[in-house]
Amino acid sequence: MPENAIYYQVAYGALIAMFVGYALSIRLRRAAIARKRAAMEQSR
Amino acid sequence: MSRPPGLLGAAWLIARKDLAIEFRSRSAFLSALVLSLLSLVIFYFAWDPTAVAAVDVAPGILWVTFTFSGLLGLHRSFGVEAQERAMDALLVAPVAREAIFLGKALANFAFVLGVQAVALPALALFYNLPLSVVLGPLALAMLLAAIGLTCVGTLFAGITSNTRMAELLLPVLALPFFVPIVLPAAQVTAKLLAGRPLDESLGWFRILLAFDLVFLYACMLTFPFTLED
Amino acid sequence: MTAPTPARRIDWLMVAAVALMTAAFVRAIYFTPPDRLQGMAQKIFYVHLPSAWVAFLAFGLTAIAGGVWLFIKDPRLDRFAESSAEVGVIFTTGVLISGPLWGKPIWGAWWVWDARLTLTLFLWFLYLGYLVLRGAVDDREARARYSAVVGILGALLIPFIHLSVYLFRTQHPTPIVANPTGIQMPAVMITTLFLALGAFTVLYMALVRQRMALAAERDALLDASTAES
Repeated sequence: MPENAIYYQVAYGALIAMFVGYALSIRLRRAAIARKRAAMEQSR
Repeated sequence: MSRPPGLLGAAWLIARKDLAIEFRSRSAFLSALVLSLLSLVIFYFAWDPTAVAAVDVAPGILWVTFTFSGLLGLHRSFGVEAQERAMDALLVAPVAREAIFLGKALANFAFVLGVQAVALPALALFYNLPLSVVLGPLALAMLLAAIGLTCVGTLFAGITSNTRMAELLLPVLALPFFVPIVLPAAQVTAKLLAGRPLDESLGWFRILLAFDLVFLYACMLTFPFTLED
Repeated sequence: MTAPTPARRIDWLMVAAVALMTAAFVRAIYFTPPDRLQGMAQKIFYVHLPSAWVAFLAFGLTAIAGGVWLFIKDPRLDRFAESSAEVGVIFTTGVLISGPLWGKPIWGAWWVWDARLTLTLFLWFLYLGYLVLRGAVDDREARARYSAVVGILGALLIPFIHLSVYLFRTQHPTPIVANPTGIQMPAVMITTLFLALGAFTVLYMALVRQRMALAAERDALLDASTAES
């Protein structure tokens, strides 16, 4: 059997990092909107 | 009082109007033409004739040039109405919105074929290609490819004319759609130049024809949705 | 007037997605035997195929949601289309990352224009065009209209790309050493694959829902700030 475990390890790692990164980006963007919303409501 | 024109009649009128406007200034047509010819020249100097034969490199050059000069022509097809909000007048007129699409597509089609009518002989000249033997099927491929390009291109030109970065957005949107046109066309050209029998190219012609039928219809039907109610 | 969503509520769908993904990865790594011919690299299959499934599903749903929006104009449909496209491009990137990582040990090269990977590459370009278009249009209604049309046409394009690439491949075959997706997979591998398919689908749903919440909050903020001015 060929010694190629590194390939699937990199693939798994890359995909996990991508999904986590994307989910985080959603969270961060929602937080930014919530901040703007709060600021707008305060300045009323 | 005369009846408003039917679908094809209206399309023809709109095409004539667009072409008349273009013919007055001719600037877009000349730009596309010059781009085409210059590309052929640049590709020539980028080519090593001792490594690759002319018949092997020509199909790619022809169809890449076709694609990018086509894009140039598409840009201007909706810019024409931008002055003095002429588009509103067009929309209020008793013409079906599908006719507006057909008319503009027809004008673009004439534009593209006009450029190719010069580019093709230039290609034969610069690369010393025996095109006369294969001119029939090649012209058919050119015709079918031009139909596909103008249908999809006209629709996307209409959409992007109302957006920021229209010049960048049009190629980004349209190029994936040009692939099922340019790939078959280039393959046919390669086979024709290599002297292969015509039935080897049939599959590619079928794809071109199917693409044209599907997208002519689909673009015409979806075009009204790209206009404001 | 809509109140902003409280940030402290637990997203159970996301919790389920994470749990399923963990289970699938653990099972793939520790409880599924590797392929004798391909070695451990074969395990990429358990993330590659599910990613591709979601990538194409997401685009189809984006196109359908856009199409329905054209008729009933519910803003939730457009927000779904927007979200499915953004999530879809992430999964498509996953296919394009895992594909070459699988191809290099199995086929000896990072990219061999394999029919399925090439089709996925085009899907990626379609997604990108769709998302760039959305970014270039500020008016919400126009953005939804244009996106719907592009989505529908993109979905129509996919079979043509597939046909073209398939015909190209049959005429220009590349020698492939081994067939990675052997149909005679032992039951333990099939189970892992189905677990992964389920996990990726639930992850898609969870991410889309989060992304839709983001879109709704952004739109609410825009409405509120224009109401102020």
